[in-house]
Amino acid sequence: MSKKLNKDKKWRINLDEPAPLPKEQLWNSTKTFYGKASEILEKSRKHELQQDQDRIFRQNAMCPNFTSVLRLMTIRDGITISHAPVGCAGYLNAQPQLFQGIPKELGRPELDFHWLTSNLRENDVIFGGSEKLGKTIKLADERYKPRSIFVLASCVSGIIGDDLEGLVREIQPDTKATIVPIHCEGTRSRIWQSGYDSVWHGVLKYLVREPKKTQEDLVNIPASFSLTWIDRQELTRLLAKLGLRPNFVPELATTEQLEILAEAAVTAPVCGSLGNYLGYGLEQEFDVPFFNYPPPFGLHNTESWLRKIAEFTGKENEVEKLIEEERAAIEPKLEALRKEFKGDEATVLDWGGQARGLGLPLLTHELGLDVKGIGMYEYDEVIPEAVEELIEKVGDFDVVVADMQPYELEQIFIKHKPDVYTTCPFTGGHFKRAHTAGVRHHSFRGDPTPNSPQYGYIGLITYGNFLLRAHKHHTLNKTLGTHVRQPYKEKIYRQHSPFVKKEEKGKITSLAKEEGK
Amino acid sequence: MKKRKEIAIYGKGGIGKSTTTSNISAALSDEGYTVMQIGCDPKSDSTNTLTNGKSIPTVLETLRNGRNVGLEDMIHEGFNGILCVEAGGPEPGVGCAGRGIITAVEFLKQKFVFEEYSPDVVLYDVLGDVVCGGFAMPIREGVASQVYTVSSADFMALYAANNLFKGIKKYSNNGGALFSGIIANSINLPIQKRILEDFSLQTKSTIAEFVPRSLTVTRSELGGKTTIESDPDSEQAGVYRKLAKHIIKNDNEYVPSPLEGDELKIWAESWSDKLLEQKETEHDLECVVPGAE
Repeated sequence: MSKKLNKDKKWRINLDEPAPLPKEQLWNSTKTFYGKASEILEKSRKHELQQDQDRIFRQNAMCPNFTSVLRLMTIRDGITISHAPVGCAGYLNAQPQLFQGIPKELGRPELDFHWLTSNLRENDVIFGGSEKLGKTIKLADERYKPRSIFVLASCVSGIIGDDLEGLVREIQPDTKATIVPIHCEGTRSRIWQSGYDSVWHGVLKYLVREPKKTQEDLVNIPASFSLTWIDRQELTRLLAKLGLRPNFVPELATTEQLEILAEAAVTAPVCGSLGNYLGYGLEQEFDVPFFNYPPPFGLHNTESWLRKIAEFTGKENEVEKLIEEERAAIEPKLEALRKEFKGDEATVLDWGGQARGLGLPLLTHELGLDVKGIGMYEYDEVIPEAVEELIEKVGDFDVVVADMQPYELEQIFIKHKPDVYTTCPFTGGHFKRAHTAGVRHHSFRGDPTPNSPQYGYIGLITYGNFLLRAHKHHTLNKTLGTHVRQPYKEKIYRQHSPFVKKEEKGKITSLAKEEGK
Repeated sequence: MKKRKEIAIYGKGGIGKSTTTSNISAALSDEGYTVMQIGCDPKSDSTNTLTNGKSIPTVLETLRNGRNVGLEDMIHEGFNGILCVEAGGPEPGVGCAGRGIITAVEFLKQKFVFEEYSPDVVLYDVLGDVVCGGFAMPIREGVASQVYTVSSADFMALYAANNLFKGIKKYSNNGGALFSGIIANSINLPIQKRILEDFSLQTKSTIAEFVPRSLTVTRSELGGKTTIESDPDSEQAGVYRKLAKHIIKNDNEYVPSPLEGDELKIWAESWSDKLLEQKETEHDLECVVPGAE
């Protein structure tokens, strides 16, 4: 299957294998970093990111299986099968609800999602789960007549070594739907975003077909979970003005949209954590051009994104005209925003995925705000150039790589005391209590409100206004700060930073102590 | 480009798999082939006689201890430049050795190990009787293409071989590896040879070679070497060379017919009767089949 294994390529994937390497091993990714942007740049260049720091303790974690579900549950003509004990399917129910808030008038497709679980039990662990899975697949095929069936591996199926590929070869001839095994075993990786790579691995290996023709106007966009419905409309609008069409995958896509990925003219990024595997895979296997940076977040990045797409689709002239028009359209609003922010020494702390993490400093810089620090959920070694460019433009800043560690956030928050804090709706709650503005910036795909977009030109203005509102109005946060207790006891706040250098792990010497705290 | 030969060698613990595999590796490297031997056993001593009796760091241990690890941390040159790899695994009594094999083999392949090192022959030395999904990993589609089993005329060894046949039969529908022959080990008596010949007849399998038990092997092993290395002119080295030559040429791949349910027991009992008869006449029989005394 792997046709082009160019030895010189830095990032190579091996589709002959059932599963991708976990992110730690493939992109040298990390979830633990605390330092300056210049340091993360230097460390990623030396491949030292994973060797330097660790945590004394870890509060939470998430599962690669879960992220795979997020990606696949909403394939409109597909069925998701959780090959696991029934509990692993617990969160499959939540998916339709996340999207049902989008009005049909905005073009939301019918949400008719179905899922099954092979319900592995003690006997299946002992005697093997393949047979039961085979029956589940057959049931799904007959009952729902889907076009694709995604089988999500789990810790249990991985440990007992169920041969999913073997099963697929055996039963595919008698199954109408295309079966796609996804190796997203929870034990595979500490970085739950590895589940994204597992999904793309399965899609590339089993679904993407040899291109019959190149659709010169088709742009693949591996859309992150947080790209809202309105963001989608904005990107669609911009591409349409260039005579191009987006192929948003995989959420709410059809199986065919996945099958034709290799026919696109280019794969454009929204978020590296999510899209790199697909981008590099399509480039390696099918010669579909790909660029991994920047996402269309902020003025400069949106325009670079459009220009790069134009480069691959022969729209160089059209894109300049588009940029001119769009700039003229937003200029008054952008100026008004800049004027509002001017003279204020507001500092922003931002926490998001790699796209927003590395996008926001530039975006706020464009609005005239100073970014004090950013947090990223995880960091891949793939994009040192992006970090370098960013430092050149906005100067050095603090970087934290962590997620699901509220205690760490609290510590960092106390250190930085930002005026505006922006983050994902599910992680930002308690910061509101600390007399500081909290802004939900990481909307979900299902958010159809006019406040929700952050990408493209419209996103820049909307999000700018969002930041402005948060910056000018602190009442809610002050009220919360006055009346709501801090989440931790006072002595906890005086404790050491949770980040330690590897070699000091035994001694529990913290970085914070080193800094004289 | 010449097609790379990927072979899995299975067999019951202690039957002489690693000894045989290492000697095949050594003999093939003498012939000028680039050989990679991958030990798939948590005991991780498959390649010891290729590295002067020393243990090499295993894949799983390296993955466990270090980050940003590469193939160079796991692949160690042994005798004659043989590329030695040990998958490794948990301590006895804990963890999951089967999952260990899956993780180790997947890692090597995802890192394009065969492209990086271009071996002509890859030998997987795999523990046991395919007791779980993990130990079946090397015979699944896309890993080894040919399987041999090392077996003595001992009933338990044949039981393990029969289990392996079941595994092969199962995975053969799904593009898994096929069988290529029994390596009959520790065969010194005619009766042992006859037992194995009958077993291969019953299971529609073939015998690659009869390897006698020999003190030369023990001596070499105690010195941390293969027979090929320490006693290249011995008769035993000749046997291993012949076996290696057979393996490199042998393209016969098939699905054997394992004995199901009671068939194996009934077959073993039939031999037990024959052995008893023979014992009365020859008096020189060692006990080769448990329960045959």
